[in-house]
Amino acid sequence: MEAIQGKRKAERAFIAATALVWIMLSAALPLVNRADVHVFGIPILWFWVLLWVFMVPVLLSVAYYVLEVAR
Amino acid sequence: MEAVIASSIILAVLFVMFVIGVLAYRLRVKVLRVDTYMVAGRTLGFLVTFLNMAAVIYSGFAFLGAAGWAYAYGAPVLYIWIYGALAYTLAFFFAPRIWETARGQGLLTQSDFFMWRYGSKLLMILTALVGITFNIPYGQLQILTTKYVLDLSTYGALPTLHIAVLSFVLTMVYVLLGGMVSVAITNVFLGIIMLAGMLGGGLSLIIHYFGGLPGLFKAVESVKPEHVYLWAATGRNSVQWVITAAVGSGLGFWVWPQLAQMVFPAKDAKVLRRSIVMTSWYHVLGIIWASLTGLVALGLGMKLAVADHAFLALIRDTFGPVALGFIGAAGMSASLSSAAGIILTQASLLSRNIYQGWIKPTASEKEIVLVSRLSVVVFTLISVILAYTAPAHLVYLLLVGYTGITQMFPGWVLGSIWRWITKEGVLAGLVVGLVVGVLTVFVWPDYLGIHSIIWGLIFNLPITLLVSKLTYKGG
Repeated sequence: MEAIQGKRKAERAFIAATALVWIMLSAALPLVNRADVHVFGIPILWFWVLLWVFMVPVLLSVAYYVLEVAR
Repeated sequence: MEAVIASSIILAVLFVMFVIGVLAYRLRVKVLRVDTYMVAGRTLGFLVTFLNMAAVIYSGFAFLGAAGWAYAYGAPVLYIWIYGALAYTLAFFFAPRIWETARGQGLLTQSDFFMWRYGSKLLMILTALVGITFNIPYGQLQILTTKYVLDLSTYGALPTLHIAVLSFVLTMVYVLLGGMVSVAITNVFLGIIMLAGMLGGGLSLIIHYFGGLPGLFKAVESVKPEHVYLWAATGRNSVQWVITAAVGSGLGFWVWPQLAQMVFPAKDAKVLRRSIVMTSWYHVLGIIWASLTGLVALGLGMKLAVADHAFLALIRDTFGPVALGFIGAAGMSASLSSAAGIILTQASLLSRNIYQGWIKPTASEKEIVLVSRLSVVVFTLISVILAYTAPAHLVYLLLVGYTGITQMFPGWVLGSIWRWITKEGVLAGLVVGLVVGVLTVFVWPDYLGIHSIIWGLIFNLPITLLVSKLTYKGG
């Protein structure tokens, strides 16, 4: 019972994290759409998208481990 | 000599692909049942499911077109990076649920789901026809992208359209013989070549010319400063276009029937989930680096007559014929692997949902497999004829394809989550969404800078929900 509740909690947390990724890769784009700001030598728009797009497989790998392997 | 070297590598890959496809049928298929033909009997393990999915998703158009977009428009290419990432997050939670239903109910195609979920023959036939029709230009497109790859890779020494058609026909021979088993096992080979080509080719060009991403962007900013951000008020260079195109395509990604069908062959839900995680890695390791080669061409000040030639032209000019042969083979692999998935799905929809579901419900297993195989021949012939005649009106189908397919999103995704979504709601939403989608593609293209997919969904979703609420009877 506890294991099922724990899995549901983890699933909800990952759905929330996924929602955050969707917001950062859509609604947040106007805020970083600037030509004059650079991060590590990369225009901020490209840096921002690269960061969050790379975050997706990392997030999904962790979610897979928590939901399917470590239970 | 250069043409001989590059062409030999490409033809060798083509030969190995064909041998694997035929051997997979000879060695792996003991009894050819309908479920073996369409979904490999739901027996595929992790590596095959993952690479089969990746190879079908990333087509020749993605391989060359993403770099072309980066070269021609700059920052709008980000929508391709974003929508893939968004789509994998959706699939991680949604696809295993669909897989469980498919296994429990014996579903073999996406339209089977519509029949089972809504008990509506009309919806089953309509979704099968939508899936078949919108995929017709994509079959033809794979031949043409193979031709583009060969044009550059063979230095113009060979009759490229004929060779592209021949490679397409060879692919369809093993699709016809082994169905999903042959497609999936061959796609393991092709998927590895594609990833090596995109990652290796992209990274090596960036490092060779600019030493890394900062150097690349510095060069692009000096040549085309407007390419590093979204500068326009409307149109595809605007921020609202990129957002709506990315979100709309992210939602529509798994609605394509060939992608739905790549989900079903997994042997269990855990294998499927792991495959989706790995395909998201494939996305960030593959398409991003391939698309950045468009910026490399831009940063170097290359003048290209065809933007989509950016990746291969750079490889040819920088590393010579051996590298060009390998990257060309990767581009050809991307086209042919997607074509195999598309044609098999079209054949499955026609035989299972139009023939068995509508015309002859009493058809035997043997008969359905026969109709599937005949359908592979028919769709191959259609694609070949279209490749030679290239009728201009097919472009319209391509333009409206993503918008049209995505209008099945409420019925496919929401219908698998909420019991109260009804067939009346889905039908009403689908029809209105298609009409609005067509209008915002052709009459008011991407009105106010908002992608037509989203315009379709803005009308489709509330109508689906409202009509479903009104017609839901419980139970």
